[in-house]
Amino acid sequence: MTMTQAVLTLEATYEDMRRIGPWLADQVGAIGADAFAERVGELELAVHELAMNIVDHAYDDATRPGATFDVVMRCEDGDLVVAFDDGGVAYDSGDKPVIGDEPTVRGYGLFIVEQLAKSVDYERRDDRNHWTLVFASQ
Amino acid sequence: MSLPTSSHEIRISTINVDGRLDAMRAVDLRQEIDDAIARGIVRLIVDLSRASFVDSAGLAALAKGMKDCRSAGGDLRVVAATNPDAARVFQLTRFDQVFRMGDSAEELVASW
Repeated sequence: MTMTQAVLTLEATYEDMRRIGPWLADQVGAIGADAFAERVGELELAVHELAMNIVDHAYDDATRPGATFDVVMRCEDGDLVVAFDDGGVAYDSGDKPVIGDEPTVRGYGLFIVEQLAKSVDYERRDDRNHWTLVFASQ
Repeated sequence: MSLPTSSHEIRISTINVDGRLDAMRAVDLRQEIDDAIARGIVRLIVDLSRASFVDSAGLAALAKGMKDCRSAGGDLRVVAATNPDAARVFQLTRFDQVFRMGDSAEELVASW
């Protein structure tokens, strides 16, 4: 039986990010996205980087303990859609470092996501952050 | 007639990263690099040939380490990851053109 979507609830900790890869590998087929099975490695990097951004920037030392957020994966018109829902502070695009010729030490997370996903969308709605990554079938 | 001679020794250390180099292990890597520099070892090789996954936090630790080693007169060079999931972050960010990279620690030792 093919599920319509798979949901992973993550704690806002570096350690819990390690659940992303196994979850993707396990659930990609379960939701009927077999075409993406061979791309789990690149999917993991993109989902991991966005999740890390949530852990690092949506929460701080005071709000991070006990915080959780959801990652929902589904197929849509042949694409793979991965949506994130967290209750942390709003994303500030002005905080995004400029990636240029000079190698910067930090700030490559979203850049990496944008290289791997067909689209990256952000919306602040009802005091929550909603990120949506779309991966095109090849 | 003997000629005056002097000998020079270059100290190079290799840090082996097996498995994941993510935000959790990036802290350990930073500590290893800092400890080496504190001991006066500023020529470092980080061997990623057995790494299974590298993220931007791991990359940042390597970049910071390279910057610190170069500031101290040395360098940090990288044995390239053979696992695609570990190599990917270098290719996407073009950091594979920033670090001096090699296929083995021996190759990088010889590069100094």
